[in-house]
Amino acid sequence: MTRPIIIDTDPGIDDALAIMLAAASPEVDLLGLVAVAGNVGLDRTAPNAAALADLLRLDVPVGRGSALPLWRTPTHASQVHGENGFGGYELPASTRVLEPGVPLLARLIEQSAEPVTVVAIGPLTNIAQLMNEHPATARKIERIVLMGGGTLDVLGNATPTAEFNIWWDPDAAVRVFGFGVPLTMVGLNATHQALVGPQHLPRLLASGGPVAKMVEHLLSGYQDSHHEQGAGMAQHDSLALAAVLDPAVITTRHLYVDVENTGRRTTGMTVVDYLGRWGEPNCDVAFEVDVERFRALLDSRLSVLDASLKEDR
Amino acid sequence: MTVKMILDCDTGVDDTMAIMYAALHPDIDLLAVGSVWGNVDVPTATRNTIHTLELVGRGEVPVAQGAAGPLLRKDTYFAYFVHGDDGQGNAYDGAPVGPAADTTAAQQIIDLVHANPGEVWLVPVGPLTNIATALALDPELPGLVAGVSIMGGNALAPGNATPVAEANIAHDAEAAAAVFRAPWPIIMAGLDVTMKVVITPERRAVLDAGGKAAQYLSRIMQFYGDYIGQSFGGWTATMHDTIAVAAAAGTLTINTAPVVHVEIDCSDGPSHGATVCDLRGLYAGFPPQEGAHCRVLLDIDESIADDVLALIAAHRGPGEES
Amino acid sequence: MQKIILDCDPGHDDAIAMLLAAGSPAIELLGITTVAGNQTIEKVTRNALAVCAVAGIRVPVARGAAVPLVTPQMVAEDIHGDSGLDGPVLPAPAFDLDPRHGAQFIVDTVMAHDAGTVSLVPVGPFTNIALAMRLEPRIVERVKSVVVMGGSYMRGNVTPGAEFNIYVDPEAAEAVFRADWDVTMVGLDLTHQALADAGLQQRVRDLGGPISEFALAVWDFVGSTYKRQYEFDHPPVHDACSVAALIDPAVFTTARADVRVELRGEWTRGTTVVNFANAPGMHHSNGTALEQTDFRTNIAMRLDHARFSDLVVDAIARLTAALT
Repeated sequence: MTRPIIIDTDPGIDDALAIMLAAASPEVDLLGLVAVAGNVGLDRTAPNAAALADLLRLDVPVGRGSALPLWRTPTHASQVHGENGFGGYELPASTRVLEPGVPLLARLIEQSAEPVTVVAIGPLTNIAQLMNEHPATARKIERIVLMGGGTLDVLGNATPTAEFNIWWDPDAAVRVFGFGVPLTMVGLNATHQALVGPQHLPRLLASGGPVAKMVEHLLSGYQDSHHEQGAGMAQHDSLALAAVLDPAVITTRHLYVDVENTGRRTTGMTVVDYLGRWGEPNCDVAFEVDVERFRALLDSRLSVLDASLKEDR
Repeated sequence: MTVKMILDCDTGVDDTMAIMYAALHPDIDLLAVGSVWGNVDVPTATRNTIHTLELVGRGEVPVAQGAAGPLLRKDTYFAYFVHGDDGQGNAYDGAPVGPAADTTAAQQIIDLVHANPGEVWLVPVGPLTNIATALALDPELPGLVAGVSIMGGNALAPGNATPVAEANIAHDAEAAAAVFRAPWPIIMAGLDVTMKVVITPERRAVLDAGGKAAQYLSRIMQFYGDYIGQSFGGWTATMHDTIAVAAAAGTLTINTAPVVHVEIDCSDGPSHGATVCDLRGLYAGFPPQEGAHCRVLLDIDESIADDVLALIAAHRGPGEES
Repeated sequence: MQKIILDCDPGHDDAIAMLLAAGSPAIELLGITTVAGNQTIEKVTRNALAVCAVAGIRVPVARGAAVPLVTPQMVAEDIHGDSGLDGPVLPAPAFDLDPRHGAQFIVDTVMAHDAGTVSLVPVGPFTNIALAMRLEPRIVERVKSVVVMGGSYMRGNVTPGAEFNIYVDPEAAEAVFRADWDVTMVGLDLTHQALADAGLQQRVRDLGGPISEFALAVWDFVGSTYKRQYEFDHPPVHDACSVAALIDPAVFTTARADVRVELRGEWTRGTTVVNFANAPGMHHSNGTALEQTDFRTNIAMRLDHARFSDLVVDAIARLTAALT
């Protein structure tokens, strides 16, 4: 029984791995990719999404969503993802025609026989716009699994209190967290445990095909692993995907989460009611990660995918 | 029946006029003056205050130095470009002055108010730092004063420090918030009225024809009027601070002054320092607002200018001829 | 000896901090100033005098600010009870208050001693400190160091993001962190490691005497409220951690950071936004983080619980011996 999913993404180094993981997993039926600005501008993330779809031979629509946050002025994280979003790795440009992103989201949700899980691994602008423009359709979403936010030991990376996706469009995040669709929040406190370096993906790298080559480059190109040199790179987005594939990869607590968007220095902070006393729970918040299980999942799935892509050449 | 008053000034050209008026008016009992940072730094304000009092023969009025900067923030904003580097239009006569009182402006307020319960008007005409400090030291103060008459804020008029905020409030919004929130009777003499009472060259001539103190006031107003005149059509001086004094003294004819809720915007956004006055009753003759205690002056009789200038012009020091 | 003024709102853990400050041979306690916080100023001041009476402490006690500088007041009776120090028996005061306002006492004391010798230890809301700074700006350059109990870089207790002392008077807190003096922030991240666990409580019990009894009654009461409110098995001894730092700097590790207090956020008013100079794996280089590069504040990180316990036990032992 496959679970239909749509990935809303700003590729992005760790987005690329997440999309690969989805492509490699029979438990999910990937209905489409929708690009949003974020890690880099939409003029990069949209073609990157299309190029990835080509690389992975995904016969699904790719949408071009929001270039800007709902109303704030954007900045991007190119110092982390490189100017092209893939740390300099070049994929052949896609010739796909990209559809407008939010209508594509709406169409895919409406047309699916089974309720769709939206895996949001970039800023939440597209999702919020869907909620604003097509609220009845948005209510049909079974669950939104988002990579974003943080709590307790790791509150933020963009600023001391805010994780990048939420920080980039905090008003969209307020909308999404307050809308009422079931949520799973895979935040920095979880993803910072999910460290993956080349040493954790032996089967994939041994396979040596197109996925292996790209992943090897991406893992060496990511600039966020300061003290984690040697320990690996935090796989934010693919942890969110992995949670969809294998819930045992993370443990969660059902808590109330809101997003601060009026603070001078705390805008973008996910306010997680970690004591369970300030509001009605609305979100499954990830806490612990079974890191070995996650690494094994990544290595086995991606190596199989890599092998299949090599053979088809 | 005299009105007891403690001024709090950042002297300042218009403060000088206000001090002279309060010191000379027969119906005002000026108990003391406190100095505060604002137009100029506090030592300069202290010196100018003492000098002004001595100039009008009231050197015995104690002057206590107050806050050097805002209540909580670090940044000070001075206005030497309006009042001159000496706070006296670059025309300070260099006269040596007597010493300041051996207390702080805030403590002076507390001591005098307790000694004269129910009788004293506080008249702050600079940033409200000293008043907020006094409140913090003595939370019983609101029940002991006659009232607080503030030169500051703006209800319907534009701002001056920023498009929507007046300088005294904007430069120490947290102090203003504490003062406006405390449960005492407040008169807000803001830009709505103070920008409408102007000293034209004709009015200034009254000072030139008066005694030495009046002539000094006219001299120090040159630089000030040049600056203010940029908002009008030529040399013009406003007399902001004296309006607050006159309002407390009861010598001002007030036409429209509803008692309304006033909140201070402390946010750091574009309306930082705005006095947010609830004037929604404007179209219905201002029905009463429960719990409101701020009387916001919206329209006054501008003949107060003539009264003030005549009083100051009439003063003669010992040995001066009429 | 380190000269300190303890500014507090007793308060259960404030009481332990008072015992540590008065009992430690490394501390010269110049005075105690009270601030409204855990309870009203009347109650916390009465409690401060009561603790002095229990422990034979004889230093000036000056009553300080009754309300925060700008914000309306709140108290913490869910943790500290109606009196602010529910639990132990509180004797009547043994001496009168210093006639001065607490903020004035701070100013006078700092100005009277040599520059660079007096440290301030605020373990309640920072209202008195901000007021003292405004009354006499020169104290900022004269104070040796400021070791606060307040804030956190991970969590809040009164809201999800804000710790109580900062939350009660965030404007005062921001003024204290921004001023040009040496500040150490001992927040919940550290104090939640300073639990009055069974081992520490047994050592105190073994001392015997009225002060031991008092401390155990304090921990008994606040242990039950902390269990109910926060599901802690043992109560944290927050405030004494700040005093301990001045006795033995090795009692906890520190890291440099730029700390600003959020004054505006709907959820985050009172949050200490802590930008570490060397945040592992972090690029805090977006938005307002770019303004937070003045890494002047020391953040308390990891506690040496054994060292801390030794200091508390030793102080109570000395005070007990001095009573007889």
